[in-house]
Amino acid sequence: MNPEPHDLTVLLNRGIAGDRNAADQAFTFVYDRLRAIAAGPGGAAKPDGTMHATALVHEVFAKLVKSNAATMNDRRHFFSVAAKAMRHIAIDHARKALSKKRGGGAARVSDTNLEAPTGSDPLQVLALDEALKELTDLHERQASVVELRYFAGLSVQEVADTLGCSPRTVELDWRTARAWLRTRLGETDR
Amino acid sequence: MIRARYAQAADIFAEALDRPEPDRESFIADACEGDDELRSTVESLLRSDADASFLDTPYTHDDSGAIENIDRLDRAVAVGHYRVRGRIALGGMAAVLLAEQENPHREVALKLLFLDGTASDTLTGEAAALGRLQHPNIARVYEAGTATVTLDDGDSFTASYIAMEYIQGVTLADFATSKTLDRRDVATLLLSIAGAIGHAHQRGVVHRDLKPSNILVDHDGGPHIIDFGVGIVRDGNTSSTASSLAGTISYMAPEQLLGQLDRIDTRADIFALGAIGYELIAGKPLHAGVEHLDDAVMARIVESSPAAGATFRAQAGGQLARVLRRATEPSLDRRYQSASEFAEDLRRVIDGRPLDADDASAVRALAFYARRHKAAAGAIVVVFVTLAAAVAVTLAASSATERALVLAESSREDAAQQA
Repeated sequence: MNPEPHDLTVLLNRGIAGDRNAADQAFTFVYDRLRAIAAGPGGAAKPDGTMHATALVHEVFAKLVKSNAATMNDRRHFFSVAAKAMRHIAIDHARKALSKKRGGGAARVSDTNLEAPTGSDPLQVLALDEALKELTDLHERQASVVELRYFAGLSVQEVADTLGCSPRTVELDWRTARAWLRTRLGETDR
Repeated sequence: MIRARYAQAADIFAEALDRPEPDRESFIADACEGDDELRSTVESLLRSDADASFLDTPYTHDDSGAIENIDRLDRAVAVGHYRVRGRIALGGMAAVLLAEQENPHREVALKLLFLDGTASDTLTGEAAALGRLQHPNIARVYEAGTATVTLDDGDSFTASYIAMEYIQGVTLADFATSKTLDRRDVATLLLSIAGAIGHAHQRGVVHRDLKPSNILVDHDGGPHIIDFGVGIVRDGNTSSTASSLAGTISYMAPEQLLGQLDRIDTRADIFALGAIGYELIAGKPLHAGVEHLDDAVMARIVESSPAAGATFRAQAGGQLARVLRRATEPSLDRRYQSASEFAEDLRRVIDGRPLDADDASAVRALAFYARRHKAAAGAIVVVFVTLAAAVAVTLAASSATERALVLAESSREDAAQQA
């Protein structure tokens, strides 16, 4: 049974207040919605079947929260949950894409190879996820900034609103985290 | 690396960024105070920072595979035991095909869903509930299940489907723009829809997303609710209002807009009916012009209905204006308490009889409602049909709104099953 949109803000609020069950439900709800849209045409998708996280997350936000007179808090809660959900979706998708390539779908792969790759590189997504886990231990807020900017496609201002800090802090966090991640991923490349 | 170490490097990195490039090297050397490891960390951060393209574009999802199936639907020749005759609509997570059933022989609108797992469960449960509805103004649901879609080249895949009554017609939104409707036409249309909604309410189904785009008007001018939780929005000329915020929120009762879940009941549908009536008369949505649902706008919406305005009274005439005003009352208590009460007043408007919608009857109705509600509360089952993404066939993505359906199962039936 899915909670309906009006419920989502309630779930999000309860989740923030420490209700694990509500937090899980809210996550599942947002995750399902994002995945459903990501899995099909129409909506935020471009004709070639790709879609940017920004469009995806905002489409789901508009559907689930906006028509519901969202407060700043609702936005905040939604975006942090959505960013995590998007990250999961990206990882699942990347894993699937890789296993397809490794697995029996040889003919398929040659088909798709004819076209230029349009989405994010699955290998990079997985490596980024691993590196982000490390960054979370080193600097949690910076890792959140990356999650919100890269996986949810939020703007600097939106990230600042979500995290409750200044855009300047977000910029700096982003730049530092990005440099660190780049360095970290560069190491694994070698 | 440990946190303190990272913080140190990050600080020096940040400060170095603030300095002009030529000064950076000496600044870093000073700041690191002979700590070579720290220095090399900061330097590698700066080198990486130069790669501006890294993570520059947010994550981009590529799932062209899912699209394949929906595109290939054009070449579908059969879905289970249905023969495909054409495509009615396509979009969102689903497509609607025109198909033929052999036995009994009839045309059906076949709605296909491309989601697995929960979506098909939702669909089946929903179809079961909707199967109980039998009303000339509600598109019938014949059957739901999972079937093999066969393409013209023999290829096939599996999809969940709902087979529904096929209604030839245009959406109420399009109907209203193509025809001049007088007050009587509007009242008559509303009366039919109110009958259908009343029928659903009696069977414990609350629609909650009634709007002109999910009501089809057939060639004889009869309206049919096609979107009872199966979310079919016809494609083609979707009016621009439908995609605006006003086009979405105008049919939502204030308690829905406020997210007061426990207050949303059959009266939310009455509100939607009133809002539809308002739009048919006024030629614009109830909350036309609203672009943001900020506090000021919400305060206005909760304060009074636009149908209470003098301009609208002049357009609708005193009688119909009063009825629509009461249907769109922000206050639940002052709104019509049932579809039949609303229908009764519409009949009076059509017959030119005086309304007797006085306060006393409202109070009586409220008391009745409260009693009935209390009794039913224990047996109410709420099924939330997922929004557009899962069930609605959203042909214009912009017009996608949340679909929600409350099924208040009859307590008798539950009791009977358990007994």
